[in-house]
Amino acid sequence: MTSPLARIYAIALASLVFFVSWALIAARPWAPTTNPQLLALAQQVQQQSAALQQQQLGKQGRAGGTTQLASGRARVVTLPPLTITKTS
Amino acid sequence: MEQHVFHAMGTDVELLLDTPPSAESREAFATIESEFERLEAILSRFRPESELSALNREGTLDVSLELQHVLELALEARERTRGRFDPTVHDALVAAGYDRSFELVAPDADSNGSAALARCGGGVSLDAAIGRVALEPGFHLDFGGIGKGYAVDQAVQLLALAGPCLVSAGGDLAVRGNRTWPVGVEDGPTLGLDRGAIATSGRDRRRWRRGGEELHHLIDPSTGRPAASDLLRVTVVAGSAVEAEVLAKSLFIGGEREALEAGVPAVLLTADGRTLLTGGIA
Repeated sequence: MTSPLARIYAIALASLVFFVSWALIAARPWAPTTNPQLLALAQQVQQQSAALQQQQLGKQGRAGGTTQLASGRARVVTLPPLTITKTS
Repeated sequence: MEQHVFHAMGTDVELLLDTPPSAESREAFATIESEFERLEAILSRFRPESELSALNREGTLDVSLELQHVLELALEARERTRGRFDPTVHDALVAAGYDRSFELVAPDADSNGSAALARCGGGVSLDAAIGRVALEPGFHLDFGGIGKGYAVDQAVQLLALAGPCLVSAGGDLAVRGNRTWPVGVEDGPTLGLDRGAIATSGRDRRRWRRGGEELHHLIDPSTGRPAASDLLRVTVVAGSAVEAEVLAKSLFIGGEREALEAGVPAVLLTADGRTLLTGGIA
């Protein structure tokens, strides 16, 4: 039969595989991150992208003149309003 | 539809989120409140400790990227509107009596606000590489309208992470999400806003009397006094709240004829009570 040494090696290897698998599953790499630093970083990136978008809008406006700035879309509707816009 | 209302920047801010109530939406509302507070602490001319107040006191200051960015937007707007929109109207507003948060401005007083004239169109130099702003001596900045528009644009981007949404702060409003948002224009039609933003500027609010004369907060930079427009109120639809704010103010100062010729989607309320739709709104 198998030598005692080979049996010990086999048990050690099986234990190693088991613990590595357990650690990988416990880390839950598929779950969304809750690291506050990463969340803050994501928010910062999002804000910078918003800032860039604003800059682009500004550049488009300067190139195209006042009338081309209006890229919102609205029409008169008969739905009950969800909110009312008033003078700021 | 979830709704959340809070007070910031001298006005009520309303948030609408088209999702079922959840802990995430409450968290998103709290994030937006923090964002308004953060921006007000930078951009308010009424808070002595704000970065803008420091710049107005010192005349030259190394500013944050955020203030630098709002200043760039304001200076671009001044260029595009040929000076109709001007961030250096600060002293004209103070001279007219709007020298503190509007809730604290006396509605009527004997002093003659219109007698005190202030120049606008002041020089502002920005060294973007180091973020240094220098104001021409005798001029100060006001980011009242554009600061609120900027805050709305930032807030709607953040809130959109939680779902289709609307952010409204005073006269500035922006939406995100694949749906139509019915927005009522005061004493006017209801606009179905599919995308973009709406801003309303006028002299029907934020007005006061000095020495028997009625004054308001929309300064015509060419005169340094409250604009003598034949319009009472202008509501503009644009791609962002900043753009809508700039256009609404500019069209208001320009008056009815120019507003009708500009081709900008807008609802005009004239001083004699007519409501006009222009720029393709129908």
